[in-house]
Amino acid sequence: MKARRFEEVLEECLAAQLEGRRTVEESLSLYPSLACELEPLLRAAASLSDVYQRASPPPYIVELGRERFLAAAAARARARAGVGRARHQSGPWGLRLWGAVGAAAAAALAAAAVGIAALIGSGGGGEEMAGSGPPDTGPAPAVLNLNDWQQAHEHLKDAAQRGAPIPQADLETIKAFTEKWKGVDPTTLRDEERLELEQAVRQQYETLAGLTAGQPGPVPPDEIFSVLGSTKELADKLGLQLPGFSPAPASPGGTATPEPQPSPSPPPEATPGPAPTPAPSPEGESVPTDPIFQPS
Amino acid sequence: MSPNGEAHGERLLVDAARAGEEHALSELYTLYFPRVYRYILARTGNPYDAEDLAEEVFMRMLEAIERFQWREAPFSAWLFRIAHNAVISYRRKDGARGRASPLSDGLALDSQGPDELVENRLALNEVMLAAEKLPEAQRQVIALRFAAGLSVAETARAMGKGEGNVKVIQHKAIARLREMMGQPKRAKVYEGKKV
Repeated sequence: MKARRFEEVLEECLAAQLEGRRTVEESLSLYPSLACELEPLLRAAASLSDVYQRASPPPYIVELGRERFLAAAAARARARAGVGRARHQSGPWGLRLWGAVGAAAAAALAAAAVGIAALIGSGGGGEEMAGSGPPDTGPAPAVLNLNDWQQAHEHLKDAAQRGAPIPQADLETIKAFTEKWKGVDPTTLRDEERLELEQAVRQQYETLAGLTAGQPGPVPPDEIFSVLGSTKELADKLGLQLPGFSPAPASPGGTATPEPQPSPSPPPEATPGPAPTPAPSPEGESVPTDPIFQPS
Repeated sequence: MSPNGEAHGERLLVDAARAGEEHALSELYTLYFPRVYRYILARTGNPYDAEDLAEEVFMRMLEAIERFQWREAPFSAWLFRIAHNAVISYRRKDGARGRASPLSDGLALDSQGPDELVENRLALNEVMLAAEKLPEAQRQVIALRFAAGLSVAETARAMGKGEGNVKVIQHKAIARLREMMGQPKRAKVYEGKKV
C-alpha cells in the first residue's frame, strides 16, 4: 500500500514537472514526508527530460519528410479518386466480369469501355482498381499491375514473420516484378504510379532484407540476396533513399550486397484496441503480433 | 487550453487527416514527428536510423489512418504503437547482426555554442548507454514518457498495460537509471520546511 501510494505521488509530481506546472522544490514541499525518496527521482527525471528534449531532428530532415509524406498522401487521394470513378462507370460487378465477357461487352458501355479497355489491354482482366492508376483516356506508358506482386509480397512478409520457408514461386514473382521495372524508364510514369512503385520497392526491400537475416527453408540465401541486390538497383534507378541503408562493410559471410538496416513495418491493417489487441511482450524482443501489422 | 479542449482539438485534427485534408496531415506531422524521432532515437541510439524510421512510421500511419477508430486509446498511443513495432522490427535485424548503434556526431542538439553542444551530446550519450542496460519494458516507458512526452495514460495504452503497472515500471526505471549514471542513492538530506 505504501509503495503504491509513493508511485502515485511520484507520477503526480512527474506529470506536473514535465508539464511545467511545478518545480522539484515545489513538489518536495507538497510531500515533505516523502521528500527524501522523491528528490533524487524527480531530479533524475528532470535531467532525463531535459536531455531528451534537446535532441531534435534536423530541420531539413523534417521538411524533406513532410514533403514526401504529403506527396504520398496526395497520390493516395488521386488513386482513390480514380478508383471511385472507374467503379462507378463499370457497374457493381467490377472488372472481372468485363474481362470474362470480352471487348464486345465492354464496348456496350462507351464511357466505361474507354477506361476499362485500357486497363484490360495493359495487364489482364480481373484487376482491382487500386494501384492500377486512374482510368483516364489515352494509354499510359506503363500501368502498374501490382496484384501479383502484392500477393507474393504478402506471402513473403507472412513467411518472414512466422519464420516459415519462403515459397519459391513468390520469390520468382518478386524477381520478375523487379526485373520488369528495372527495364522501364521511370520518367515515363505518372506521379501517382511512380509513388506507388516507389512504395512497393521500399516495402520489398525491407521484407527481403529481413529475410536475409537467417531464413529456413528450400530457398537458398544467395537467391534472396540476388533479388535484394536487384531491388536495390531498381531503388537506385528511382532515386530512392532506402530507410536505414548505409554502405556498411559486408558481414563475414561475404555477401555482395551491403548490409541494410531497413525498418520493415508491414502495412497496418487494423486499429489496435486497448484491451483486445494482443500486446507484444514488453520484456523481450518478440515479433510484433499487433493486428496493426497483420496482412489482410 | 484545458486537457479536454486539447483532446477535442486533436480529435478534429485527426478526423480531418483521416478525410485526407492536407493541412490536417501536415499539422499532425508537425506535432508528432519530433516526438516520434526522439522516441526512436531513445530506443535505437542512432540518429540516422531515427530519421529514417520516423519517416517510415508516418508512411505507415498514412496507410492505416483511415482505419483508425476513436476507442479508448488516443491517437498518440496508436501512433507510438506503430513506432514501437517499427523499432522492434529494426532491432530484430540489428540484433541479428550483433551491431551496436553508438550515438553519432550527426545528432542535432539544441545548444548554445559548441561547448554546450559537446556537454549536451555527452549527457545524452550517457543516458543512452545507461538506458540500453534497462529491461525492455523500462526502456520503453522511459522513451515514451521522457523522449516522446506521453502521459502515463497514453504510455499505458501504447504498451497495452495498465496505468498502475506503468507507474511501477517508471519508478523502477528512473531509480535504476539514476543508479547507473553514478548519482548517489540519496542526494542531500532534505530538511522539511513548513509550508
